[in-house]
Amino acid sequence: MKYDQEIIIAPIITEKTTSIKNTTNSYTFKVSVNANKIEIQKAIEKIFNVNVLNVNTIRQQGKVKRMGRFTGKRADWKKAIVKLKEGDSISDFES
Amino acid sequence: MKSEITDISQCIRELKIIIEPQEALDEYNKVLKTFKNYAAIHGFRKGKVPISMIEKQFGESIKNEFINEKLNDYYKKAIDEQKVKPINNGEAVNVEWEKGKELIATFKFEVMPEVKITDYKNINVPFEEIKFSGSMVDETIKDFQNRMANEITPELSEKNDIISAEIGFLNDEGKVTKSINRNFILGENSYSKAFNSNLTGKKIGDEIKTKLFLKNQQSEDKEINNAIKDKEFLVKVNSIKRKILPEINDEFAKDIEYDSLKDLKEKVAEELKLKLIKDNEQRFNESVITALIEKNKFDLPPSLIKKQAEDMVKPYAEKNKIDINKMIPVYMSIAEYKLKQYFIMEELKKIEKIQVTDEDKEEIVEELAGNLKMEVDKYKEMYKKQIENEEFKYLLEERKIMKFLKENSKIVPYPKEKKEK
Repeated sequence: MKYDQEIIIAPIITEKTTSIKNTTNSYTFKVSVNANKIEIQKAIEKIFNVNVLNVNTIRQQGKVKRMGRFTGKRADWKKAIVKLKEGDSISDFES
Repeated sequence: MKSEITDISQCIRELKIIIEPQEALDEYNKVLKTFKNYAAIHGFRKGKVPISMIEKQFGESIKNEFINEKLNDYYKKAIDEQKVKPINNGEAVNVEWEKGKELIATFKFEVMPEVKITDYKNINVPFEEIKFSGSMVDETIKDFQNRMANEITPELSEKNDIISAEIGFLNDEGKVTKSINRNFILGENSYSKAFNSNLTGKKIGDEIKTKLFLKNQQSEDKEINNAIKDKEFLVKVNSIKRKILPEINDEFAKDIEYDSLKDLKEKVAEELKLKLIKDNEQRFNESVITALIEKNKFDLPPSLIKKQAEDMVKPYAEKNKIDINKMIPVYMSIAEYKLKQYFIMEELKKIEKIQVTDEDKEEIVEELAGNLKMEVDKYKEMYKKQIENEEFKYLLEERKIMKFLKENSKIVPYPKEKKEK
């Protein structure tokens, strides 16, 4: 069993995520690659004490990087866009 | 904007500035907007970071920037409003501001004191003239004699010989662990009588074990602390010098370029008399100024006194490579005296409407030319620049005031405890 803090890795705060947050009350997080939407929903609700309406997830492929003749690959990661109930908010994103 | 001023002392003022909450907020927002254009936060393009996020990240810096930028403007505005003239940069002693609240800033600054000289006529000036006496001539000739003395190296040391010695510190086994060199006059130094008698009758190279101080004596030598001062030291005589004074006679007078001893005495007396006139005048002027300062008390801004002390000390400190900050406190009282003298003089000039006329200039030029045994026209030509200088005018004004004060003051003897030797 995963801990909630293992599922939710970090909030993603960028120009785009701020814009999504302002228009649709959706918050973006970097989450564990193995976590599913239900686990993410439960974890968010528990950590931030909010009501989650919908969770969208995107698997991001890690970039291929070269260092001279050596090539490598950054780890794959998962992004979750969590839509909250109207009136709910997450203080970490409150700028 | 509201401002109010409080007198802390004769020359220190406190200025309190209050800025309305909306005015402060508007100015703060202006600063915030400029920050927005330059703030670089990962994930955002420049200029696209939400203001609230900038505030969250750089809140304290923005607040400081706003205070630093605007406080100076508010201060200048308040100074103009209050019509005060600070002589130093105002120091913000307290600044309080929270977003949405009024900004309260307190400044401290110095202003020129109001110098009012009321008590300057018929004041008692404690002063006693130093009169010429024959012993002064003898002392001056003795000084010449000392300067013309020859130095010899005698075989055995005697009282008044200049000794150069190496003082060795002994450990419990009697071995020298450290040594220092000292020069002293035998019989006239801070060491004990026993030490001086032990060193009398010694040759160069002699070594003696002796104590330097008595048990109840305080060591004046920094290297020899009081814990070890009554221990024995190994003293080695490195050199002995003795002054041989020339006999005071016609020969001696001729050596120092006088015709005879009589001529020497006459000329020295003449020079001393002239010097005494100048010295007495100088001392009298100082006594008058001191009396005026005591009678008409006023404060001076500390920063002004410090600046004056700094100006006085700077050339000397630079020349001798001494830390100026160590010397300034020593010169503070002299600087205060000089400044007070200046302010008193300026005030008296105004009250008595002292002005320098062409006749005054002519008179002093004649006097100066006479001192140099020069024709007046030639003197004028030679020192044209100096005569037309502002400083020359100031000196003449000062001279006139001193003359006025001399005529309008009563010389009294020194109080007994302050009597000069």
